[in-house]
Amino acid sequence: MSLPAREAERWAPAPQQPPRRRAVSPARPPATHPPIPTPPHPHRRMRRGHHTAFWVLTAVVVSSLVVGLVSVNAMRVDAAYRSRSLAEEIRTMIDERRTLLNDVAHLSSPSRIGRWAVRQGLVHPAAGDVVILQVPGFSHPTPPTVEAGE
Amino acid sequence: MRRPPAGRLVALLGAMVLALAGVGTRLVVLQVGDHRAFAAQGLDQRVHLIDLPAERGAIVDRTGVPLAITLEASDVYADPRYVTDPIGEAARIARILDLQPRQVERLLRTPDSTFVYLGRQVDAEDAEKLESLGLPGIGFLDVPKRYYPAGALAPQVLGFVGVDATGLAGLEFEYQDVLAGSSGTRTVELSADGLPIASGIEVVEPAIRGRTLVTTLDREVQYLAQEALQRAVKENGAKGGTIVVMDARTGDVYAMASYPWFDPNDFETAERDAIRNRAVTDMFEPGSVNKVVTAAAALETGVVGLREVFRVPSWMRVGGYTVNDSHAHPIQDMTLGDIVAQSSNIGSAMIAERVGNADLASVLARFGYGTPTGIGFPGEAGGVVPDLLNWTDITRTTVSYGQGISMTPLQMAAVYATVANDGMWVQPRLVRGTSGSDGRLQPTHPDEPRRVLSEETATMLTRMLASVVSSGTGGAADIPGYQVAGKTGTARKLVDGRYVRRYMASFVGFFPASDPRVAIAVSIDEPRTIYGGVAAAPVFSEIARHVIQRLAIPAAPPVSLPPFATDP
Repeated sequence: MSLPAREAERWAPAPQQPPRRRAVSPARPPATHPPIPTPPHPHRRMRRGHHTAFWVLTAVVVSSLVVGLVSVNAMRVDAAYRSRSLAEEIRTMIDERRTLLNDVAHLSSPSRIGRWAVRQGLVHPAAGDVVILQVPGFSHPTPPTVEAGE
Repeated sequence: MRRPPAGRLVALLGAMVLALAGVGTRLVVLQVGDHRAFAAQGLDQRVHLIDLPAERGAIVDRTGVPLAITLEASDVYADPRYVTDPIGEAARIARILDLQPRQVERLLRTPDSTFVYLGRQVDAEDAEKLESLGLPGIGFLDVPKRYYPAGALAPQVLGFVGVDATGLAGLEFEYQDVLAGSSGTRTVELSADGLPIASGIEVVEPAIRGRTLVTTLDREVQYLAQEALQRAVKENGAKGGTIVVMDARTGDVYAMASYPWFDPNDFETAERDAIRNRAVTDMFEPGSVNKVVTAAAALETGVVGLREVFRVPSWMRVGGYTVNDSHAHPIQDMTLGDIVAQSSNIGSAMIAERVGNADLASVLARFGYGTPTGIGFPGEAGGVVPDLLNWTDITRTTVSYGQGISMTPLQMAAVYATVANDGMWVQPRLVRGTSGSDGRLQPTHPDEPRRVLSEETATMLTRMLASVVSSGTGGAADIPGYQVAGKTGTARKLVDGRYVRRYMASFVGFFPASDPRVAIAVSIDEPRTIYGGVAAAPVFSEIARHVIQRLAIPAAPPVSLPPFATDP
């Protein structure tokens, strides 16, 4: 088979190189000039730009941030709605409690019960009808008084 | 195609660049230069300050039962521009709000108006019914409304509240600052359609609820007192009446009623006279119930002995005037006990003459005549006592049997409570204290009790007052098993500066006589029968029997009666 010279060069076995030996450097003379920075190799930047891992990581970080931010905001809004709903519920319950207190006070009011009693034909006892017996050594408890409010 | 000349393209480009630069500059001016002003303007449009009204504190009785409470209600309004069917809507609204359809229709047709009230403080139930109809142009505003769940119970004492939630009378007025609390604010960011922005600004400074007013009233005793008073006024064909029931030892008022009364839930329809708490604001000449003060002055000064006998005619002339007893009688021998028990005007006048003007006036002043008790009620009257410098013989004589001076029923109850309380005057009170959201009672501090009479004088007066019920004019106040001490009174009324033949009949007393717990003052205004022993004493007895059961008051051993002229 004949190959072009360039191909033939590629396929040719690599020439044997002598084993590297650490060269003994001669004693360096004291520097008189600052070292001249070597410019980056022209291909190095190009190699970094093509690094896909960087882009993947960036995308993950950015999308995580976006998703996190949106989630936090959504949770905040949700919490605000729930808090408002709870506040409304509390208000409703307070109103209901007051209404119930009013109902109890109205239903137990002596005037209402008195009217009902009159309709049922009940009358107040006449003087002397009620005999209060005094039991020696027994004292009636006094009705409760409110030491605290509601 | 021919290309446009390069010059024109350059000019167009230049114009566009200039325009863009102009827009950019304007943006910079708006966004950077004026951004604070515009941001503030935007915030101002979105952020709203909503007033949070404070809930008005309740008024409760001594056991904590609500007598006045605030509930949610609605103001119903209409925007006539959006009402599509005034006749139909008016009929439906009028049915629920109990109004005249024509009246509602007229409101719904109000020209050039965007807001008219159809109903103020409508009950939540009715408002819900109306709201469920979904009538166009009808709106609702949440407002508080004061309710009095027991209806016409102590209405003059409690008072009432106007549509602006301000107390207008009674304790509602007196304790407005305590009951009202302080309103809060809610700062909220609203969208263009008026809905709250969920993640927007929301700062709430909560309203502070008004404190609960704990009164000394007892709901049951108050009701029973009102029932008895109403019945007595009707049975006696009287114009009205008042009752005060108070704890003789502490001054706590268990019941205070003036008939006629009104329903504070519907105070707009109440008659003017029915609104007044006459037990505190109206003065009357006490009549014979004042004889206890004359007797007290006699005992305190020591000018009359218990066993001393007076020869008492049925009439006498004093300073050109003729004064007489209620019944003609021959000259009678009477002790101080007889004079009080038989309620002799002439006997009282004779004792007062012995006491003298200055000492009688001094005892009146010590009892608090002419000075409000300081119970803490708006418009409390202090009574009228003539200036001592202007006293004449006839002044002393009439004052001795309770004419020519005036006082409130509350003052009279306090006088008898003083006798019951071993001569110590205690300030009557209607309010025990206030309680906040923690429920702890913060008590009011009444004036310190003060000594008016010596214990001995108080005991002797109690014996005399007990004799009034056991053998005198106050027999109708008797309670089986209990000894009552009290005094009847009949006073002629002073109208436009002249005494007329109209009377105030009273009975004031306390029980049990030897260990007094409760003092009660009953006054019946212009009854058919003029005597306190007939018109007022039975009311005392009826209320006292209820109070004994309600407060579980045990009987106490009876006190001995004072010496009488007929004693062997």
